[in-house]
Amino acid sequence: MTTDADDVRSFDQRGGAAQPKALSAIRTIARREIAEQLSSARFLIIALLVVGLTPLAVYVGARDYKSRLEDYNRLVAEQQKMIAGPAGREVKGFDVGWSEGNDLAVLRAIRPPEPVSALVRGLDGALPQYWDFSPTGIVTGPLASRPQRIADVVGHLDMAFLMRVALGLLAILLAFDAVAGEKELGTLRAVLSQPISRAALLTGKLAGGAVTLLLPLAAAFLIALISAQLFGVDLIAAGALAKVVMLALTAGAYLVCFYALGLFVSSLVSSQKTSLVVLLVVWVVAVLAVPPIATMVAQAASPVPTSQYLETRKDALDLDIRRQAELEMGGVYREITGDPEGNADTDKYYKNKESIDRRIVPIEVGYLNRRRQILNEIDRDAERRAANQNRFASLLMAISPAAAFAGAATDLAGTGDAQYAAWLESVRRYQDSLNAALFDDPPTVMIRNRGASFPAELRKPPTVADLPSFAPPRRDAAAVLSRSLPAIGLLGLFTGVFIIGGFFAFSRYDVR
Amino acid sequence: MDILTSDSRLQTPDSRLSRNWMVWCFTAPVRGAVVFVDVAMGWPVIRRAKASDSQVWIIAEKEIAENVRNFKIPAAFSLLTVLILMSFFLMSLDYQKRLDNWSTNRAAQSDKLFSGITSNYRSADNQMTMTASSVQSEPLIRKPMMMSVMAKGLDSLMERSVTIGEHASVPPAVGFTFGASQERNRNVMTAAAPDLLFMIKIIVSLLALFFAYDAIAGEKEMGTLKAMLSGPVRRRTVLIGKWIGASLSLAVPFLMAALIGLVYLRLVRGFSFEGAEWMRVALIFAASILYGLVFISLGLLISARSATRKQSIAVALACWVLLVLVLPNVTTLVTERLRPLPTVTEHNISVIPLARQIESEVAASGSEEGFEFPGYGIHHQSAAPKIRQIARQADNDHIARKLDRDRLARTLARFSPAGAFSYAVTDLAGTGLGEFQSYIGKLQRGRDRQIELADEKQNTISINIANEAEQKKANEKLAEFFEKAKQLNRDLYESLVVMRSPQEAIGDALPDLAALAAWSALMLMMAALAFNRADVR
Repeated sequence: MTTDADDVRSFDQRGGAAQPKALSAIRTIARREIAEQLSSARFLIIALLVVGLTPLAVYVGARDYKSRLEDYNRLVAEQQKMIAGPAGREVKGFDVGWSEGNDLAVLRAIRPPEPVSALVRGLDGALPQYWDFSPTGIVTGPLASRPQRIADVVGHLDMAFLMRVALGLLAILLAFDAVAGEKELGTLRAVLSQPISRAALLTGKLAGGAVTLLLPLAAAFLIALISAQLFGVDLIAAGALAKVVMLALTAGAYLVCFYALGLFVSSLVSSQKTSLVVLLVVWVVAVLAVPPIATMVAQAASPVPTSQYLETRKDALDLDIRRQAELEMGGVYREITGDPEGNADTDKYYKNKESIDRRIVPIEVGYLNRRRQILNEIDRDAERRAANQNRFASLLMAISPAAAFAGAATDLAGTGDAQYAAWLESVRRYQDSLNAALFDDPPTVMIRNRGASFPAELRKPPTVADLPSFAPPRRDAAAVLSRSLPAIGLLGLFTGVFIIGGFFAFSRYDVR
Repeated sequence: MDILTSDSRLQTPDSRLSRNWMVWCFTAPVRGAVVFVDVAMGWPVIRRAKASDSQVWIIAEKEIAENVRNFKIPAAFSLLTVLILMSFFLMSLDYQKRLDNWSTNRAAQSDKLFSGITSNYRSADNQMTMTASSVQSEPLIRKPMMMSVMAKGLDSLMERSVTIGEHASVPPAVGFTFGASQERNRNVMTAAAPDLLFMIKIIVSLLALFFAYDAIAGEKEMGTLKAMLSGPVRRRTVLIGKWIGASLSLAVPFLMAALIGLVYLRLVRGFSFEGAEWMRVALIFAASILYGLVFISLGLLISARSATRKQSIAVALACWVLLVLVLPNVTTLVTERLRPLPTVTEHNISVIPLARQIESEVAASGSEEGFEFPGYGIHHQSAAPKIRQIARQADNDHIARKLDRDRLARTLARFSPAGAFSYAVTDLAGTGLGEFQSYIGKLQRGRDRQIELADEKQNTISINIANEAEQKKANEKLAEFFEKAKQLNRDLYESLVVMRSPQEAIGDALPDLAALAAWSALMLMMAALAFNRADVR
């Protein structure tokens, strides 16, 4: 009998001539593996669970998506109505609350919900519904849906969840005894005494397991597509089919990765029971424990200032520069009107309109621009810190294939971090272009003084059509693929390491 | 009773010294607990000394010894210890951070610039002043709960900043508005907190199934069950014995790990719980064990119905996914379906037409002239109290519907052990639905006081000022009202620090604990039925 290492090497060296034989052996082993797995109780139970839960998951996702879409349509209709009204004809650049003449709603960038979020929810509900652009800077709208509730354990029930949790579980349940079981039964010795290389045996098992796992996966995605159609989300018409196919492929890679891990552990240990315990612990840690723990470690190690800190800081800075501007304006006002108290009223304003506009307005405009700049810097700094924190968290999560899959799936669906970053970038670019076209040199300024406020008209206000329009980020299949490549690459790396580890462990296994 | 003299049964011929030592280490507390439970609960049994009862304990002890020998108990203990320590470490850091955030807010509350009303200031040389036309106050933040290190629950909802003042969309109306979540990172916002509740919900249930899945199926497979049942042992005895054995195998390592966690919290992180808080902690642990028992019984049920261990583990894991991960999601979904609610934005906008109608009624009566309000339209002074009333009513209705939905969600959550457990533990920790309702109630009362004050102010201070003296008097009155508004704000702030009493929290958690106990009993009964009908051939 040759040694294990020789065995592997000879398989490699035999090359072309021996390949047909090795291939047919692999095929036989794979076929036997598939037949055995498909008829096993565990496969039937978990596969039925996944296939049964798929319509439910899609129903939840489709319902959430449709309610977000309704909100979106309502907001768009409201905006269209306002654009047709006085606010659309004259954009004054004021920062006022809800009204017919609301400039904010006219310049609003409304985020359409992502149709694929019916399958992979990701951050789609946790992102703002819209962003407003004002003289103060970017104002973030409310979140698209409610935050996490008490009873929810690990995120939402969606396709990514079913793949990550339930099918991941199936992968290790199928793999834990693939080698260790045969070791215990003694059949492995019998098989290895045949003219079959160990590499071929493991390859056959891997191929068989992969095919077994891909069956429920394909069924689940098919059912998901059909039920999405039934529940009123037309993924094919939305041009999302390519994204769904990529999602399914990534999920397949993830399952193969877990199956390879199972084979690796199964080859390493001698009893099935140990193999099951080790794999379940790895599964719990990788799938359920690592994501929240990594998030929290990142939060502690690379903190982001809280909302209340940012608001207080903004208030303090604003108050500071506002006070300076007011002192200056008050002095000028007193000088022009000769009023010792510095009280303003409309009569006095219109009597001295020209000199007030010439001297006071630049101070007010200077204050507005400076305030926008300062507030914007604070927000950008907080965003940068949040992005750093996320980078750190995803670095920590790189130890878990499940987290890598979750990242890849949300990015592919267009509901992940990358999509959020792309939105923020578009929004910021739009604010910059609006600054240049409107806010830096405002057509109208509201001068506030004790008991009175009056608008100073500086130039003819532009119409909405005169202003640049908002360009939302790309969300086609090519764009999402390029955003999710790092996570997919990581998943591939894991699979490779587990397969090589499995071959190595198996080749060193002593059959006696 | 031969429990204390049963050492010979614990040793297998091939056991080495180290293994013996480990077995002793882990069985000592278990055996102590067995004796304790035996004495405490089984005193009549001992008195009667019925053969079947001592058989229960023999089977239980065998089960425990087996679990020690095949490393299930040591593995469970290490996993639980590592995860609980990690959870306490991270959650206490998080709590510290949130506490710091609250202290900053507290400092800001007592700061001259930010306390109460910010817009009513007069610059140093009296050149340019702004006047406050309304009550505006610095946002309040509720103090984070210390027990949130165990279950964060709704704490992050309750520590958003909240402002009581004029509605953004309907200015004369007074209401409370929540600020954004304190957490800025959206990934953190949507992720589950790795608190003790999370760890127990996932790990304890999984371990329970792991202790129970092969208890019967394994013996079936090996054929030992047949041998055992052919002797003078009742099936009931076997099942109860296995149940006690599996329960103790889970409960003892869990309690040891939890105690280590508590010692760590106390000594390293400096958390000191006081009288009532210890009761909360003890009840949380009791609830956790009750939750574990549900899954032990479920595991036995599955084990009794399965022919092989492999089938048993697959069914057990599928059930686990359904009960722990899927069912709680489904109950919240059903609630949303049964009690649809408008979003906050929709609700806020819904008040506008009502306000406009009141304004136009006042305008039609022609009794007073209105004035332009930026972003609002023409506003009439005498319409304000009415608008405040309808906005208040609309807010209260909205809140009542929301809380009603939350209560329904809670009732439905009892249909899953994980849901009932989550609600029970968050209530016990003071971060649950009961505390949230009382928090909202405090805000509502605070708002009502501010509305009363706003009405009073409007009746006291006339806007038609004829001369300097009247102006001066009005200014003085105005300053007085601002002081009152500030005081109301301060009172509310202090009331937010006060937590509900442990009695109330326990009262809230009781139905959920009862639901857990019912789940456990139901599963055990079903397991007994299934085992009685099991075919051992």
